[in-house]
Amino acid sequence: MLNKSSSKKSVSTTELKEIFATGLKLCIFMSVICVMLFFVNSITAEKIAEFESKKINDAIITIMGDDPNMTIEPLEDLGDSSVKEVYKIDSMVDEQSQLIGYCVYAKAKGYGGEFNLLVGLNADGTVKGISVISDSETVGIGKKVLTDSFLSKFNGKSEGVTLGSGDIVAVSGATVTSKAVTSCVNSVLDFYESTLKEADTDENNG
Amino acid sequence: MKTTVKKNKVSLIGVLLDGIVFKNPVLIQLLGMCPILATSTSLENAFGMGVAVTFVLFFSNIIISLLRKIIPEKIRIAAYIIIIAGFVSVIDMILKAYLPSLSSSLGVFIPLIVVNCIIFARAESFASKNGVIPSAVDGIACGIGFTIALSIVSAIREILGNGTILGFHIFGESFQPATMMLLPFGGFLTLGFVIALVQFVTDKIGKGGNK
Repeated sequence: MLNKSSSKKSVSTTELKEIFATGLKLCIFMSVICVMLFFVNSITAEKIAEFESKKINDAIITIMGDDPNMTIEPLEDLGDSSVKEVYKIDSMVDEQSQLIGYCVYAKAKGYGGEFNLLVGLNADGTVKGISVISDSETVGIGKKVLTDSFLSKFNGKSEGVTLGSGDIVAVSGATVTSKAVTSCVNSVLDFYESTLKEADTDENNG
Repeated sequence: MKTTVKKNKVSLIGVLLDGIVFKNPVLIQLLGMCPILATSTSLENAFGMGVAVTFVLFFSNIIISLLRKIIPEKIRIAAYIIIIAGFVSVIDMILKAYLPSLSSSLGVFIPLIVVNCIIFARAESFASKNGVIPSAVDGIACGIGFTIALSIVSAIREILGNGTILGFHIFGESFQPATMMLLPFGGFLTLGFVIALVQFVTDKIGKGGNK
């Protein structure tokens, strides 16, 4: 018993050394790759962030109209998981700010993965317009949903939008994407009701 | 043993032709079926995907070939994954920064290049046994082979399924396309026909050469 364990121990020390050596090599490979990624990231990170914010800015202007007095104020994260970012849109005239509406950057779960919509809301909480920020939906199927002819049907809607009732009808062949857009708009409207509306009235009272 | 030594002295043109035509990773070896079916719904996506895969293949082949004597046998797969994942992250960041619309339409398939079996197959069967220059040529050749196969399949699917090519309507706006070609089913169908055609042609060429 004692002999066996001692012989096993002597084998395992050489094995241990080998394991340690291979592990060390793997660590070296990994650190080299990490250094490479660090350099590429330092070059591209700024460009990526710049592009993202430019895209959102452009979308806000398309939805809310190009008003030189318009101010865009990003609100801090308000704790809803489906809502990525919220922008408060005000009109500044003679240092008097008047609320135009909100733009909510939200994500939806489509057929080709997640896609991102920017939903513009009027001051009274109705939908002003929807713009697609990024998507990976299929050309010819899901992409048909993400065009103005479908998205503009949400304009003016305020609460509890359901697919198939009224003029909002799912695009045939693209039910998944149609449903995803509808539920995304609904979650934005819910978010307005539960969080933005309150914040707005609080501000007015204060 | 001698044959392997001989094999190491492969002609670069042979490697190039093998990768693009005679041992085309998709149409002959039937590797990388998943990205072929998933990213071939439009020619633009397909071309972007092909270029991204070629980039990763080229650099991972070079690095793996350089390190082929250092990488321990036991952990070679882990080492390959690290190297390939590194280059995939690089191309992912570059696409996001400079071609953001392509990056967003390819979505998850760019990160998934990490587990693309073409890149693994080339690392394991070629780059780990050959010098740097043949490996680099092999990487480019297989990448071009992949891109060509993907472009053929996607061009057919985009024309028949959406009536467009690179976004331009070729039959006029009123053309009613066969949406089924854009479904996974249409992808299998197209790929099957393309493979059958390629097999037929290479078979003819092979027989003619023998006679």
